[in-house]
Amino acid sequence: MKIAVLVKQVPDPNAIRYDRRLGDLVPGTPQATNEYDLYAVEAALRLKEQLGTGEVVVASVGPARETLNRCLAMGADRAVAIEGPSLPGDSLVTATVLAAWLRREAPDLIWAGQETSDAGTGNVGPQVAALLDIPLVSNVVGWEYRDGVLTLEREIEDGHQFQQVRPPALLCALSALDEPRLPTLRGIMEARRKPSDRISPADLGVSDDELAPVVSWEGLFVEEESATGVVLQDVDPDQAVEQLIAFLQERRLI
Amino acid sequence: MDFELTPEQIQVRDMVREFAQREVAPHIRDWDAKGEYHPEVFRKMGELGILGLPIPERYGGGGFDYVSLALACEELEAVDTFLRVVISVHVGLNSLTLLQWGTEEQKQRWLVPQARGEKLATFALTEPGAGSDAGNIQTRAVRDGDSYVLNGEKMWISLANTADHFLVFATLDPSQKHRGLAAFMLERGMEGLTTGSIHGKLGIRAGDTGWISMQNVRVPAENMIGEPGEGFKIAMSAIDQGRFTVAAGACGLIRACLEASIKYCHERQAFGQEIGRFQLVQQMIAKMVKGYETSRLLVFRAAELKNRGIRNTRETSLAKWVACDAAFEAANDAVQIHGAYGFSNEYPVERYLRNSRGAVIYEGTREIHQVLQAEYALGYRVDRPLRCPQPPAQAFEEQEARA
Ligand SMILES: Cc1cc2nc3c(=O)[nH]c(=O)nc-3n(C[C@H](O)[C@H](O)[C@H](O)COP(=O)(O)OP(=O)(O)OC[C@H]3O[C@@H](n4cnc5c(N)ncnc54)[C@H](O)[C@@H]3O)c2cc1C
Ligand SMILES: Cc1cc2nc3c(=O)[nH]c(=O)nc-3n(C[C@H](O)[C@H](O)[C@H](O)COP(=O)(O)OP(=O)(O)OC[C@H]3O[C@@H](n4cnc5c(N)ncnc54)[C@H](O)[C@@H]3O)c2cc1C
Repeated sequence: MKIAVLVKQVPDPNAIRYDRRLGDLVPGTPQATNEYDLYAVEAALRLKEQLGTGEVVVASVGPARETLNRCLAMGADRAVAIEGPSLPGDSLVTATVLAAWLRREAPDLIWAGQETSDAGTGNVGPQVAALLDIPLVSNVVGWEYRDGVLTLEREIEDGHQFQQVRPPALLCALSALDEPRLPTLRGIMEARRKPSDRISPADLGVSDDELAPVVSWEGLFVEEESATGVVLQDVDPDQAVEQLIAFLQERRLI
Repeated sequence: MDFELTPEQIQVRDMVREFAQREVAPHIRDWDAKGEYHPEVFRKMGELGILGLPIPERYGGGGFDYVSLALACEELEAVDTFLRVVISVHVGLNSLTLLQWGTEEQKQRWLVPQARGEKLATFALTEPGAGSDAGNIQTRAVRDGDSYVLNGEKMWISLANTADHFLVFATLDPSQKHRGLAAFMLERGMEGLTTGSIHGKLGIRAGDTGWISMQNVRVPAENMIGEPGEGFKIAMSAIDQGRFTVAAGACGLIRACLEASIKYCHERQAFGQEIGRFQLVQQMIAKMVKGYETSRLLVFRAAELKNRGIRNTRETSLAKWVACDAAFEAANDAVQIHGAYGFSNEYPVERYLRNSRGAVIYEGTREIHQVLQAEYALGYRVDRPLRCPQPPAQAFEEQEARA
């Protein structure tokens, strides 16, 4: 089975600092792999391991060398970086470019993350599925593959839902899936010897018109934090005292 | 001179950081407070390949260079010293010594399982009566047919109670002092070999430090590493590797002190402003930055020499001295910046202070490094070529082979 995984490199959520004067993130903010995408990679690797054969190909639109290296070190077989001056555009541009690449690769299954930690539109997965006209299963928190059929557990409001789908399909991963493995040192060493391509939208036959964003990106701002209080209502007085003390201790006020 | 890390070095650093943050950081306060020891962490390090990081791939290791090794040590000790200690003894003092001095047969037998993380190894030189004065150790090895019989005590040995393999130093002839030493690989389970832990330590309380007792332990002659009388040279070249990992780890401890202190400087208010605004507090922060950056440069220079297989005793000793002193000072200042909170284990800095203290003693005390540096400068000390020089890192070995 050939499994494609769509991965995005994002500013490391643990290291983000905002520059008020620039109206943007501090330049040189460390980059990381979008968290959900690592769960998608892990799921793809496990399915390949279960089958004992197959190929896991990872692709990213926009600069993502560290992310692709990491996926290769985790065990992916091949990486493709799709880069061009107009990328990343809006989510439809990203999806259009990815769909063009996926038509060429014709994988049996596509994994993506549910959403990113930077722009976070959650559009790309559904858009790719629509462009390719294949089934989409979102919010995936569990999976099982047997006799050519995938049984998927979805997280929905107030519960869980099970769906069955026969590949090809596009699945969007959430972090309740198996914890992504750390790359081993052997994996890091082997990744250097694995195929890693860099292509442009033009190589995929994507026209300039298709690369023009319809959504424009205005800027970034940080919401002012305001102090919040806690109201203790309908609690018995003894409990209220305990909670108050805990509240003050937590803030090192007593 | 190139200060850019390669993509692989960055990947090693990030992986080790994530491992330590994920597996150990959430528990370490508790483990340290209770003096609890969790060797299962080492199994995970083995699975990830960290326990064979700089060992060539042909011997089951990762084949990474010494800069990567330094980065790994920094990340480990940024979480807790006990994690870096396993690299110092298992990788630095034992495995890299086997790589340098062992025969092909010895490497296959001990180095390969160690590099794969299947067996843990340590290094036993210090005794109750001899530390700095290592030429004066009293453990005796007496030839008997095709084996040696060892008797004696080792003290302050990291992983003593955990390791499977021990690189033990003994004297064949006490009257010959350091010229009479020999090195042996011992295995747990050999008759007459017992080990135990030392309790009541100031620091590294989540780690195993202990003693080894040998009573008529019969060791086959083929377990001798190097030649009779070469033990002291082997011990000193092992220490060139161990010290390097200690110095690199100290950089991680300084970084942890700096990060904790910066955070607290922004949080804590006094006299109507963040304490980071006070110049005397800034001085402590500035000194931590100085200690971190200078120590790292010295570590990376030593790493470059090691990568190329160039003798580095002098440079490694300087890195170890500077980094460990700076780490102790940084931890002491970090406690100061935290005020009374720094005096309790609610914050990690008191643990950093306790952990930083040992490294000013082991792998050459501060005084021994000062003596070494002065002797080199004055021309009283000159390094002579070794029978088995330290091999270059795998990538540099390959480069040389191509050239
Ligand atoms: C410099 C810059 C300029 C931008 N300009 C604009 C703009 O003009 N208009 C605008 O609307 N947005 C803009 N963006 C935002 C960003 O380009 C889009 O939002 C992005 O294309 C994908 O959307 P998302 O992050 O919301 O992904 P989501 O839809 O939240 O992602 C879901 C999943 O889709 C996959 N995926 C998402 N992105 C990629 C990718 N790049 N490669 C591979 N897989 C991916 C991943 O699996 C991910 O988990 C800009 C971003 C940057 C950094
Ligand atoms: C946590 C920990 C882990 C350790 N792990 C190991 C291990 O795995 N394997 C191992 O073999 N050992 C290990 N050691 C032992 C360590 O290497 C020794 O403690 C160290 O070499 C110092 O020896 P000593 O304690 O006997 O002190 P001594 O040598 O007795 O020194 C006492 C004091 O005298 C000073 N001094 C000694 N000689 C001179 C001199 N010539 N000039 C000036 N001052 C001098 C010293 O600097 C020191 O201040 C460990 C120690 C600790 C604390």
